[in-house]
Amino acid sequence: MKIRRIRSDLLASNMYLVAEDSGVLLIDPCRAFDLPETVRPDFVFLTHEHYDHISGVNLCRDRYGMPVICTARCDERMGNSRTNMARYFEAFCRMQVGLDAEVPADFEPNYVCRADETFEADKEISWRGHRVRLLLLPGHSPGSSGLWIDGHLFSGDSIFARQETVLRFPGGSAVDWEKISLPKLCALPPDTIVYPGHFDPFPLKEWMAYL
Amino acid sequence: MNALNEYNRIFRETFGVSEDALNEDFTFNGVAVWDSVAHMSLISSLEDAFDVMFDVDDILHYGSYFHGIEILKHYGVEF
Ligand SMILES: [Zn+2]
Repeated sequence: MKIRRIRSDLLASNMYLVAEDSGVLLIDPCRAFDLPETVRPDFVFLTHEHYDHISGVNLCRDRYGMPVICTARCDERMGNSRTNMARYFEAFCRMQVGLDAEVPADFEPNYVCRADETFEADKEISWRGHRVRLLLLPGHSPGSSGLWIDGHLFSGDSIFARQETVLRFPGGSAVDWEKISLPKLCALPPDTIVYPGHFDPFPLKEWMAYL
Repeated sequence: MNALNEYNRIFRETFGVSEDALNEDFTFNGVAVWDSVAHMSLISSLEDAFDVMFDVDDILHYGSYFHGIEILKHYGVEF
């Protein structure tokens, strides 16, 4: 299994390609990327509904015919440009300090998209011989989740190496985070490597030590 | 709906403050909890409650409790 990261031009969010045999699964696709013709685009997984993580969803479906999977709350909220934050993206970027705050001129303030398949409870699927766990991780947003495969966790904006999880965006919840998501993350194998929605990968242990 | 009551409720809930704190000192630059993340929450709650859609410039210049009332008046909200 191979993992490749592509940084988007929207707050430098991370898109990931996970490849096995000739199949590829995409996580949080961004607006501009190309897949080689020799790969089979299997499916798209979304970690949460925020615009910087879903900007390539419509492209994936139109160009590659890929089904899109995410939580039911994520699906519902990304169908509205207020709850997926596309409407506030420019203002937020211009107020941000510390992140690459260039606002691309062609970003879409009215962007919306929908999923093809949703889940409302933790779920296991199999993909090209791998056991894939989809975990609800509400807190950063109501629709947040993570994908765990063979010791790799794609965590969206739920955890970062040495930074507290941002729980104060519209719809964020400190209570859900503490009751539902934290215990679940702490129960994962400690040698898991985390692939976050921004910045570089890190060992889950490092995050646990920081808690 | 009394607009001022609703306006105050959104500020109290967004920033976790009591009504006494909402005065001319309650500004983006003057209040530590009013950062860019809280700002997005505030703006989206206001848009929801008053059924308005702010221009980007108004979102960026929504810098104080009192100035915000003036901005909302431009969008037809009566206080
Ligand atoms: Zn996010």
